[in-house]
Amino acid sequence: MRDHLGEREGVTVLPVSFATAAQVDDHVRFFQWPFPFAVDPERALYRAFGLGRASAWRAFGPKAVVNDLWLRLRGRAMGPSRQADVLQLGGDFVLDAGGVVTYACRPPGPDARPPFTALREALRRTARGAPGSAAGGPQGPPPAA
Amino acid sequence: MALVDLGSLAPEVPFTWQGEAVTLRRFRGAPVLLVFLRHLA
Repeated sequence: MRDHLGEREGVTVLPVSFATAAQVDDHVRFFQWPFPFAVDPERALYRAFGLGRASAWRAFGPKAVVNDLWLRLRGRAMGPSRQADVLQLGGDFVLDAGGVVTYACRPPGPDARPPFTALREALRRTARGAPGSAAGGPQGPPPAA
Repeated sequence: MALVDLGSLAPEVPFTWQGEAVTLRRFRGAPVLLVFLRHLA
């Protein structure tokens, strides 16, 4: 994924987890992920980027159940540890070289993430210095001040 | 969406990266894709 998203061209792909460092280490070893994670157990970055929590309906409703079953049927491997908070939402952001957010996607539920092509295009536009690539994904609420 | 400068958003929010306490300032100088995960499973 990192290669496809342009890390070879100087783009840094930084996955962020709110798990503890020990939990992340367990997963990195289990899945043999070759890249470093940002560990944010206090969720300060999550809050700064306006990432809230899903409703129980969004997290456990029919769409989420079907999506989870589909992933399991496709053979998704399960990692070694479980976190209690399954309602925390994720998100995807592109920052330019100066730290300005040029793309933001804050999905309203756990079963919605931007397509790979949207992220790749946002990175390309940002690398070219073209702002305003945020139109590709759901924005959600603005970040906390 | 209005572009948001991290200078006013999250300049000094600390997190751990490769065992060190850093902020997003550490990554300036090149585009960054931040992927905030949900729970690990």
